Amino acid sequence: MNHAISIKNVSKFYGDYRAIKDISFDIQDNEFFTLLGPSGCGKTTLLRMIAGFEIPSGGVIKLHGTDIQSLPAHQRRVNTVFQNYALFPHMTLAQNIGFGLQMLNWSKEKIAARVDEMLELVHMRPFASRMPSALSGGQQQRIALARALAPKPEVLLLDEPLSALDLKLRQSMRDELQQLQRDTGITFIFVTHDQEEALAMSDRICVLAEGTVQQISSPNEIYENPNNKFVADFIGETNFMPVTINSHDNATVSVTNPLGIELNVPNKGFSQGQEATMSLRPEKISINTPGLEVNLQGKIVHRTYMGGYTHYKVRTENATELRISKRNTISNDTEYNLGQQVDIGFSKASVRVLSQ
Amino acid sequence: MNILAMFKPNRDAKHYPGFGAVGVLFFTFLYLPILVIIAYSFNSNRIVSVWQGFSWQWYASALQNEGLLNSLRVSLTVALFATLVATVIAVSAALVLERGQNVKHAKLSQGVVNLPLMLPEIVFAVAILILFSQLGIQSGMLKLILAHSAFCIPFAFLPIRARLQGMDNNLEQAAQDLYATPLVTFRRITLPLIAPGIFAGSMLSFVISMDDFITSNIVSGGGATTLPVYIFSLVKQGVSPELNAISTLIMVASLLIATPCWLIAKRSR
Repeated sequence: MNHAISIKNVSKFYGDYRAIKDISFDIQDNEFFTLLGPSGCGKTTLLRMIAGFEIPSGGVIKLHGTDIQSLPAHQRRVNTVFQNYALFPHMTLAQNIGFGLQMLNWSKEKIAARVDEMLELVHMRPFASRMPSALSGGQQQRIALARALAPKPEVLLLDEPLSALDLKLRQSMRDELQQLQRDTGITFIFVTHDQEEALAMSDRICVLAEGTVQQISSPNEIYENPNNKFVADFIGETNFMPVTINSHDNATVSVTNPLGIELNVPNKGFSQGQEATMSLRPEKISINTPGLEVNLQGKIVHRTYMGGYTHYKVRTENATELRISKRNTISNDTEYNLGQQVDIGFSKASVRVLSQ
Repeated sequence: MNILAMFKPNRDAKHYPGFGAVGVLFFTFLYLPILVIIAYSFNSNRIVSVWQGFSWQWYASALQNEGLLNSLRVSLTVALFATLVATVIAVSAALVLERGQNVKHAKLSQGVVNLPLMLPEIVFAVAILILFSQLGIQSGMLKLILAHSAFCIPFAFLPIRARLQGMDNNLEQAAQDLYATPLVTFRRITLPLIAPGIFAGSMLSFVISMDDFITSNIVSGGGATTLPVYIFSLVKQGVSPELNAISTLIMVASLLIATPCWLIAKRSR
């Protein structure tokens, strides 16, 4: 497999502050790869090191097998879509898109044809001779994309490009970005703090926290099988409960938990007596649905109606509060009232036990 | 009328009582002397303060005054070169101080660049006079250009730096990201975008240089007298109507230069 980007033991220090702590991973060719994490986790620093705007304090970054450490930004076949778009305000949209091509010494005819093609790609052809200040945020976004894609970079870097757009536009841009990535076949590295964006678009997600990699997996893996408590907490919603590892053999461990259920989970290197965390996603729990593996009694203590679904909080007999999310599939679907006694159930396979 | 409403902070100052009267007083104080000079520049009487009749004669004699024209030539030459030197230095300084990463002693350097603004001009002038005599520079013109360049730098620097501060530095990174070398980035992106700042800064230097008296008076000699120094020498011989004509001409020239500058600045905003 060909690696578009290969990061090996990369660190970045600002004085005493360690923004990136010895990170290593590879990004495949033609992949939609997302760097996801809270602000200050080092995702933008990492992106800027790939672009050439920051120099790593240690380690090696390779672009298609070539060490790019010594190359300045303008010699790297990598283009960036900036968070605030950074369109040149004194140039028309066509000139903005053609700028990189001009720098690469393309002929006038080839530039004109490519600019036209890019404008078409982002549905902005009628605007070619406008100035950037005459555009809305979403339109500027498209031009920034077209400008970065025009020189056919080996890798496209996107630094939270959707964060300045409103919700509706953001959602439709997600689809467009994904489509663009498939159409162009260029490797996308997308930086975001928005877990929904990451889940919706990525082939693989790299979750970062405090300068270290927490997990690199497909969106489904990240959501269903988080590596640790941080990942489970950062991606989606979940119910956390403190648990203790009980008896264990090589394959499985039994877990003492506040729900009082008998639970055996795969042994991921747990030791006896270890404190751990149990995670159970709200949508994995059903209300008044017979035939499930685990059944508990509880009382509705809180309800939030969200249209497509309703969030409940249920207090079980042993005083544990569980958040439950229920899809409203048919109109006039059963609504449970505050204080109502309900049966709740879930399958043991939905439970994850995570190290702290 | 509610007395309190009068002092609401968002109330337009135009509606304060007495605004009109104070305004008239202010503009009278500011412009009446200038109007008097303009009026008396057309006075045919040699005695300045006694009106005799309308005449162009002082304009004619001013425009034929060899000493006046010579000093004007000196002033324009000095202002032109000083502006050029000061602007180039100011642009370089602004780029390093605003865009440079890990610049050592940035605060100190900024202070040095702006020093001529804090220093009393007479101190500056005496210091530079001593420096020139130590260096043995003889040419009056060269001395003037060097001295003017030095004190014009902060006037060119401040608007240029302000413009750079207002410019998103992602733009320069975007250009480099799109394969532009640092030099091309400067020429294609930075320079066009800070051009209004450079224009404002160089205009300011030019005006400051044209207007300077203290330094020019102390440094000049060696066959170079600037316009303000020449006019001062005329005043010492007594105020003549020719002086009124010269002053009026300078005012008209300033207006003719300032108006298009103002229009350009207004449009670029």
